[in-house]
Amino acid sequence: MGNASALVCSIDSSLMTDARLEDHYRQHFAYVWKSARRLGVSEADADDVVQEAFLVARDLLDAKSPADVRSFLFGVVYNVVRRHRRRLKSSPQTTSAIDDLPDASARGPTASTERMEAARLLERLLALLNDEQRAVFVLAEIEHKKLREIGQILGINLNTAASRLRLARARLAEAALRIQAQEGWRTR
Amino acid sequence: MKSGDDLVRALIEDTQDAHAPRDEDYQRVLTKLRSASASASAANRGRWSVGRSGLGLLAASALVVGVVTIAGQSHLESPPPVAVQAEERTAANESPTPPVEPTTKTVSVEALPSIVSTSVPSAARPVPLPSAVRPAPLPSGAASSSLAEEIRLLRAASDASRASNHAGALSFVEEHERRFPRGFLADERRVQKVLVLCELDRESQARAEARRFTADRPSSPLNARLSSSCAAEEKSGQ
Repeated sequence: MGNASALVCSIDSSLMTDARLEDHYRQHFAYVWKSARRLGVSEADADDVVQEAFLVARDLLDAKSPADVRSFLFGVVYNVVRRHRRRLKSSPQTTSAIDDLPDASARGPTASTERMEAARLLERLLALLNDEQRAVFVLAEIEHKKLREIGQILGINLNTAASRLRLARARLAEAALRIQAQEGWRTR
Repeated sequence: MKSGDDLVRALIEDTQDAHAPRDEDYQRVLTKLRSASASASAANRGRWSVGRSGLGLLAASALVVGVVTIAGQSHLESPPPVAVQAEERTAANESPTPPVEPTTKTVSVEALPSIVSTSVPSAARPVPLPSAVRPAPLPSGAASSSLAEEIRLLRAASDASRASNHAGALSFVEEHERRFPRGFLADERRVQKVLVLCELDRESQARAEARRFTADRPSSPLNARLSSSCAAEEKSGQ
């Protein structure tokens, strides 16, 4: 017969040490950062969100033993971002992700003006989506995840994931056409 | 002329690295993370007597939510275990099925524990029960964070089980179930409930719970715990 008292003990004893936290940080920092930014976190706020995500992950990664750490981390980031968003709504000062993307006229050593303009445009489009649609869209279109994976990562069923993706695609396609017509935006 | 979908995809292709961090981002956040982790441990050392790992959880959760005034959903939902089937099509190529409204259950704000800022004076802060003291039913609003509260409830259940107070253990598990139906430790709670039900000789109920868990989480490593419980007997007999 199982021992119920042992279960929590086993969770406790396997919690991550700081060394392991740093190990995960080294491996996944870039992914967590990019995920937060793709979910609409401004560069100014990315430090806090990424830090928060790793602190949450420290206590859960070992306890949960996820098969796919990256996907698990995306789920953590997603929830931290949503919490962050609620915090921003109650704050008088907000910085949107689009504000700190390089200006189209800015010069950078690694990115061309066209790419910067494209990045700003993409952010403008993604900002049209709500958090739920945006997360599904990022996972599907940028990370090329399957609907089933997306459902597992976000804790939603497959039909919900499909519905959000369909709505997100439709909204962005319409907006893209509108911007193209109004501003003469071209892609390669 | 390109369709709107094509325009968006082309845009995504053009901006693959748009959100990549710089080297200085890596180092700066690492420094902050080390600092936050160390200060959290120091702040909690000696104040809590619930074990090293509990400290980690409570410290992290205090950091996570300490400065937050909760609006809306006030706990971080845990992503479920991910098991990927390689043969599946990608979402980008799948035809979305007819829209279905999200069915994710949520917990009302009122039903959740309040979040106490780390800046609240210690006199006003709820005091956690030391592990040596048998946990009493939790007063409302006594949680320092939902994550800490989850761990505390499951720890209380564990302590009760260890003291052969299985009915008490079940009440803590059920309290967790009621307050954190989709909490970080929901899976652990579900398995713990099965084990507690076994201890109470409520085997049919334990088996039903175990069957549901295995169906929902077929690849969970926690299934190993069920295989050595009373709930496993029916499976082998089927």
